[in-house]
Amino acid sequence: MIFCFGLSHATAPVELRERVAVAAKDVPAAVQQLTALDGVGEAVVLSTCNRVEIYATAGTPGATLQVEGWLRSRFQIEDISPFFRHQREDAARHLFSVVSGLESMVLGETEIFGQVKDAYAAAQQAGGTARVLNKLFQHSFRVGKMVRNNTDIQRGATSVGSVAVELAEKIFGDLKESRVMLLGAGEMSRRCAQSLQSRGARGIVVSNRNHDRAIELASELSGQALHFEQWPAEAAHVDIIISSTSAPHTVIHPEQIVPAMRRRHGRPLYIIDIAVPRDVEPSVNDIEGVYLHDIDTLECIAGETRARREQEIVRCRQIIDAQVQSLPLFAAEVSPHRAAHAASGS
Amino acid sequence: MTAEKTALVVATILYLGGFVHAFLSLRRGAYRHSWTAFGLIAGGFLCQCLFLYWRGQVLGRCPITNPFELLTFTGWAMVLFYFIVGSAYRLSLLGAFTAPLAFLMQVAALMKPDPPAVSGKGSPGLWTELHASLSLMAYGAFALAFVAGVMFLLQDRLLKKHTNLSLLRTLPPVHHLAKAMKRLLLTGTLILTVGIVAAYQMEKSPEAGKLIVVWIVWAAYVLLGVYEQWRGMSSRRAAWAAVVCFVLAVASLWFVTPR
Repeated sequence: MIFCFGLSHATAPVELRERVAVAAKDVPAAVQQLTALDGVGEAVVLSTCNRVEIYATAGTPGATLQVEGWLRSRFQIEDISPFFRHQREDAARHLFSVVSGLESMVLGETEIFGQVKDAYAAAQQAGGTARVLNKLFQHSFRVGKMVRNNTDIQRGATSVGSVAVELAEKIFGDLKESRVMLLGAGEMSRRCAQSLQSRGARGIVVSNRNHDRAIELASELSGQALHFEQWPAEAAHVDIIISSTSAPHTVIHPEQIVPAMRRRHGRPLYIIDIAVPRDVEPSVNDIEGVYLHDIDTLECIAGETRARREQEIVRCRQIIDAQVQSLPLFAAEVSPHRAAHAASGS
Repeated sequence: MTAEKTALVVATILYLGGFVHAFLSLRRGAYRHSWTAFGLIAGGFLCQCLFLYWRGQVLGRCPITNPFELLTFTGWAMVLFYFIVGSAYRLSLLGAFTAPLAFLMQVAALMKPDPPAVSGKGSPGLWTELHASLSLMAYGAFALAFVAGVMFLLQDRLLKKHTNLSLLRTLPPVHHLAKAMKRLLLTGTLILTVGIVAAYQMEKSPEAGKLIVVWIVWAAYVLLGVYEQWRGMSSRRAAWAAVVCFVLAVASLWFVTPR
């Protein structure tokens, strides 16, 4: 019988999660300890910042109690009620949901897929998996891909930074040829710039009223600092401007952007205004080839994407249910769930 | 129905299939590059190739002797450019927008009378064939530039107005569309230039009226290219110009082609 124990951001506070977290280097040892327990055949330990889960197979009815005892003694906790428990199809269903990103804090995020793969690989290397969990986990990866390819659960960006990156890619395609200028050296613009850099954007220029702060952020981002009064001249040579100054009035006006656009030979300019109050005069968006998005627009797009993903959950669950039913592991096994269902039907 | 006509009907159905497939995907907001859409367009293209080959064999020349053949040839040239440009810029969606135009051109062609092809009539001369076929190839490039221009204007509007996210996510990047469109305009203009030069080498000089019309179309595209290079025209204006110039080019066909 397959079963799983676990807790996540949805069921336990961070204090408890950090207490039961298993560091990557300790995972093989934990797997070996679990498989050494009476009645436990196979085990996989998944530990991320948002969840700690143990998947195992029980050869005897007491195996789950053994794992509970192991949890108490290993993490020095008395109350294990925050841990959820699933058995048989429910355990498989839960794993498929986790792999598909349905249980993640950011619905549909893809990082969990790799984390589950790593956890499975670590358990395999530690000799913790055999026929049952091998089949279950390998099938879960197929389900994860199926959900991703057949639904919109992972489509679109859900944070301001990732929406900005997504829109930048809808303007330029590949960001490898794109140069970025930051006006203001705030935290939000730093994060936005890092997101763009992670997608290949090169050449970061930082311009700030406080030039020392510009130098500091520029060195952190491996870019170059620019005196604030020089930014309009530089606008012709960058593709993306992220503005987040603390100025109480607008700092980017059409009269500064129009001459820059003339020197860009048709190449578009993307301006991200994440300052409140806004840094960019809205009429800048009317200039041909200029695309302006402010913080509200970006938030709104992120919100729409989140809502769309919520709507996709039903379709994802349908795929997962069908895959659980088709899993050969349960074909020969009559679970209490199915027995009850059959009894109520007859 | 003859085999060659059947090939064209199949091509029309395949283009319609490509259009319906893309339309439904776009409506669901879930367009992805699919081999089905690509296969439908490629199938339509192959059927057109078959038709042109068979008809060419019968005529003993490039099959552009009547409006039916002209439209088929131009539609074929447009799809040919799609395969070249679409793959270069990874613009799979360009195919989705090309399919309906290819379908409409094919339907228009099939609605035209198709007089029986007279075999062994022979070539009207190398320069005449070169002039006609190159000019129509150029029109194929302009047709695809028109498609890319329409897509650019749509995506530009979506990015400016921040509306219809699913369509925005589906359409290709504006910069890629602008580059593809400008290269198609340049390619078309160069091919048309060679086609016009070829017209002056023809044994029988073309009618002055027809030449003037062709010169006007050519001048419109050259002016567009020169202005774009010289003043750095915005991509939005270039897209509008590609749309307007193509309408002008299509209208010119009415004057210059045999009826």
